[in-house]
Amino acid sequence: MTTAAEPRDPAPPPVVLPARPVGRPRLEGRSIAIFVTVAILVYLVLGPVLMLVMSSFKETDGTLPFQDGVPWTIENYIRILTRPQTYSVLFNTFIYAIGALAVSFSLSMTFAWLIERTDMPLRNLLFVVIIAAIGIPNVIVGISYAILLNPANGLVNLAARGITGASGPGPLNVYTLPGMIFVQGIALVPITFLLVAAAFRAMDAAMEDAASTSGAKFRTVMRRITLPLLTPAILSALVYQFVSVIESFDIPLVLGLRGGVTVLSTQIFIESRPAGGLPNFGLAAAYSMLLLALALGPLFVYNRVIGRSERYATISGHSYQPRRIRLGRWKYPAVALSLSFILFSLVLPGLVMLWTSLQPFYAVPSAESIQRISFDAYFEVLGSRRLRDAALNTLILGFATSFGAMLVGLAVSWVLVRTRSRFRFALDVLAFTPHAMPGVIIGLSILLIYLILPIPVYGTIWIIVIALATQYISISTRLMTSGISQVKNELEEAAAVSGAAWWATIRRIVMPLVMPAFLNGLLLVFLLAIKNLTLPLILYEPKSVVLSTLVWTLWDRADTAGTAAVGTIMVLVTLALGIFLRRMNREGPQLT
Amino acid sequence: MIRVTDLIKIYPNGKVREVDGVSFTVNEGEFYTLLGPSGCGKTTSLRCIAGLERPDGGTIELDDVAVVSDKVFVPTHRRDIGMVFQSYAVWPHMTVYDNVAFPLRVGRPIKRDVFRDRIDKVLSLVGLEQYASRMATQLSGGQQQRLSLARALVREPKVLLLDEPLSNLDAKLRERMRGELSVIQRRLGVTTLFVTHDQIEALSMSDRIAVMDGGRIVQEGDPQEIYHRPANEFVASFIGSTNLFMGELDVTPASAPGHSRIKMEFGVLEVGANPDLEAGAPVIVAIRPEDVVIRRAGVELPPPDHANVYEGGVGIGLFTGTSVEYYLDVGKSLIQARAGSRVQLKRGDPVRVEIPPEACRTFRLEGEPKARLASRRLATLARLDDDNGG
Repeated sequence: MTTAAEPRDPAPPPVVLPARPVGRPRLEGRSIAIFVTVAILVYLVLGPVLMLVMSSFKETDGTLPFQDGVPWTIENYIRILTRPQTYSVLFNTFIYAIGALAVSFSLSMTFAWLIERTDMPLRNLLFVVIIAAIGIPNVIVGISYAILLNPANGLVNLAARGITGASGPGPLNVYTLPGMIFVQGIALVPITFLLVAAAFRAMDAAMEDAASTSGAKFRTVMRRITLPLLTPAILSALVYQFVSVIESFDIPLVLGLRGGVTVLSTQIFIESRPAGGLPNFGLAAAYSMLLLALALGPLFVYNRVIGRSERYATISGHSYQPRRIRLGRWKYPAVALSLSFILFSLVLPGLVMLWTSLQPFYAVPSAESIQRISFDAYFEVLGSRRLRDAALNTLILGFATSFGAMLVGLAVSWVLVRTRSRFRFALDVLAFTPHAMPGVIIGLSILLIYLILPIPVYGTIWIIVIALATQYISISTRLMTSGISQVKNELEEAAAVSGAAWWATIRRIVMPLVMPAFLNGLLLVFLLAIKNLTLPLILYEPKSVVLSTLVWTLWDRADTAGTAAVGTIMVLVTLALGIFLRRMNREGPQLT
Repeated sequence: MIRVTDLIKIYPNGKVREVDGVSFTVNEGEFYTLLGPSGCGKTTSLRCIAGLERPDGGTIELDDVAVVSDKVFVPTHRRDIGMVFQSYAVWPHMTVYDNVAFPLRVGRPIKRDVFRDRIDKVLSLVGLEQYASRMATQLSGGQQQRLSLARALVREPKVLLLDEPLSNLDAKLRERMRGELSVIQRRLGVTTLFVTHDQIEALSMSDRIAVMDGGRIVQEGDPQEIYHRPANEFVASFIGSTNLFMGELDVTPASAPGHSRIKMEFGVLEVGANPDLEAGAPVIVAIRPEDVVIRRAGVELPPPDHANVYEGGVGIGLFTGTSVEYYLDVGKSLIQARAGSRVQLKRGDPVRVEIPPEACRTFRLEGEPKARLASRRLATLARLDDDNGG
C-alpha cells in the first residue's frame, strides 16, 4: 500500500488494527489552487465594482474621488436625475439598442437558418464572410460607413443623387440614430450569428421528424416545434447582445458625436475625459451606475433563461447533420439577400477603405482622382514610430490579455465544473459580472483604482491589459466551462485511482485535453482585445497607444488617408485571423 | 482485503441517505459483488472505497489500515487500488502504451526494466500487446474495456474495483468478457469488488454477492443461496424472473408433513412450511418460471396424487431461442412458465400446470408488493388481446 509506513501485522489470524491517522490533513495543491482562483477573481472583479459604487457618492468637481477631504454626497445622483439631458440620453440608448438588435437578429437568424438547414447555393461563402468579419474593429466599420453614407459626399449618397437628379446633402445621413442603428446592427452580426447558428446546428432533427411523421405541415413544424425549441438559445443570445449594444462605444463615438446623438456610453466618456475642463469622476460614476442598472435588468431574464434551457435536453451536441430543406425557386431571393449582405457589409466598406487609403486627400472616385493614386499613406504610417509603437503595444496587449483572461477562465471553470467548493456560487456570479459591466464602466473604475493603488501600471499598456482581461473573463470562463465539461470527470478520476496527485492530473490529463478549446479561446480573446477601442481610449497615454486608438486619433485629426491605411492593414490582419479561428474549430466558439 | 463498517453517505441535499449503514468484508482474493438496481447505493459505496466520495460516516479499511475513519481520509491517489470505470475512461490523448504506463509514471520510481516488464505482462494478459502504439481512441469498445482493466492492474494493486465495467458492451461481447474477467481475476488472485445491476454477471462471476436496496444490504450470500433462497420479495423479484402472487395462509393441514396450504386466486397451493407465518397471514409467494411444469392436458397424464396441479390455457408464448416463456391463464391469474426450446403450444391450448411445493418461497406481505402490479397489467393486456382476437 502507498500508506505502507504503517506497520502491519502479517500473522494470521489477522488482528484488526485500530484505525489511526495516516498523516495530518495536508494543505493539498487543490485547495490552494481554489483559494488563489477565488482571490484573483475577487480582486479583478469586485475591486472595480466597489470603486465605482463609492465614487458615485463622492463630490469630485475637478478632484479625484479619494483625495483627502473629498466629501461623501448624493449630489451626483441628484444632478443626473434632474438633468433633462439624462432622459434624452436614456431614450437614445434604448431606441439604439432595440433597433440594432432587431437588425442584427433578423439578419443573423435568417442566415443561420439558410446556412445550417437549407440547400442554398453559396452558403459556405456566406458563412466564411460572416465569421471572418468577427475581428474587424468597430471603429473601422464606423469610419468606413461614415465615408460611404455621410450626407455631404458619401459615395452612396452621390450615386443616389446622380440617379434621382436631386441635389445634396443626403438623401442618407449616417450621423443619425437610424444610421447608427444600421451600422451597429451590421457590426453585431458575426457574434449574433455564431450564437444562433450553434443552436440551429445542435438541434435534434428527430424532434422535427417526429412532428412530420405525426402529420404536421412544414410551417406547423417550424411554428410548433423548431422555434419553441430554439427559444431559450435565442433569448439568451438576445440578452447577451443587449449588453453588447448598450456598452458599445466605438460606433456612437464615430457617428453619434458628430451628429449630436449621445448615448449613455458616450456620455460617461465625455464626463470622464472632457475635451476641455477637468473630468468629473463622481458624475461619470453615477452615470455608470445608471448604465449598470440598465444592463442588469436583462441579466435576470438571462439567468432565468439559462436555468430554463437546461430543461430542453434535446439541445445538445449532435454529430450528424439534420436534413436540409430544399429551397427550390426560393433559392434566388435567398442568394440575392446573401449577396447584397456581403456587398454592403464587407465589399463596399472594404473597398472604400482601400480607396481612401490610396488618396492623399479624400476624393470621390473619378478619372482625375485615379491619376492621384499613391501609396504614400502606407509608406508614411509604416515608416512612423507611432505606428510601430502602436503595433508592438497591440501585440503585447493581445497576447497578455488573451493569456491572462484564458488562464483565469480555465481556473475558474475548473472550480465551477469539478469541485463542490462552497465558493462556487460566488465564483459563478463574479465571473459573469464583467459581462454585465459595460466597457466604459470597467475602464473608468480601473482608472480610478490605479490612480490610488501604489501599483505602477497607470499610464502603461498594462493597465489596459488588466482592464481588458477583466472584461473578457466572462467569455473565457464560458468557453472553458464548455471545454472542461466535455472532458468526462471519469478521466480525471481514473488518473487519481492510478495514483496521480492533483497537480499531475491537471498537467497530464486536463491540460492536454482542453488544449484545443484553450487555443481557440486564446485566439478569440486576442481578436476581441485588439479590436477593442473603449478601454484603450479611456486608459491610454501617449506611451501606450495601440492600433485602435491610433485609428481614432488619426480620424479625429481628419487624416483620412492615414486612418484608412492603418484601417486597411488592421482589416486584412483580423480577417486572416478570423478565418484561421474558423479553420481551427469548425464548431465555432460557444459563447453562451 | 476490504472491510467496510457502517458506511453512510448522505445525498448532497442533506435528506436522503444514498448509503445507509453498509457493512461488509471482502476477503483476500475474493470476487465480491454489490448487486442492485440503479440508485441503491452500490456505486456510491464503491466510490467511497476508491476515495472519490467522502463518506459521512463509517470506516473503510484496506488491508487492515484505515483509509476512512473519524480522523482519517486518505486521498484517492494514495490508496493502493486499481479501478475500471463504466465508461472505461481511457485517456484519448494517449497511446495504449501511455495509458497503461501512466500509473507507473506517477507512482514511485521503479527500475526501467521492471517498468517495461510490467507493462508488457499486463498488456499480454488482456491481449493488447500488438496495439501498444495505437491511440487509445482507435480501439473498439471491447478493447478499450480491456485497456482500462490493464491500466487498473499494472500497479499490481491490493484491491481491484470494477464499476459496471461490462454494461457498455453489446450482449455478445459482454458474455465473452464475463469469462475473461473471471479468468484474469482468478489467475491474479486480486481482491475484487464488483458493482453491477446485472444479475447474470453477478451470479456467474462472484464468490459472494451482496444485494442492495435503498442504501442497505438486504442479503449477502453465495450465488446459489441468493438465487434459490432469496431473503425477501425484493431479492426474489430482482434476481431472475419470478412469479409473485398474493395469498393467505390456510388453517387446514397440508397433505404432507412440513407443508402448509396457501389460498391463492388460482386455487390452493402447498408450500414448504414457513415458521414466520401464522394462520390467516397475508403471504407473497415467489415461484421461478423454470420450476413451473407444463403438461399438455389430456395427452400427458398427471402423476398420481401430486399436490399443486391446476388446469389452465396458454395465453401467449415468447420464443427466446434457448427456451419459450409461456404466460398461462390459470383461474384469474397469469403464471409465467419456462419450457424447453422445442415445446410448441398454441394460444388457447389447454394445459395442466404443476408447481412443486419445494420450489415456492413465501414471505409475509408487507405494504404494497412491487412486482404484483406489473404481472396484473400483463394479465389484463393478455385478456384484452383475447377479446379482440376472438
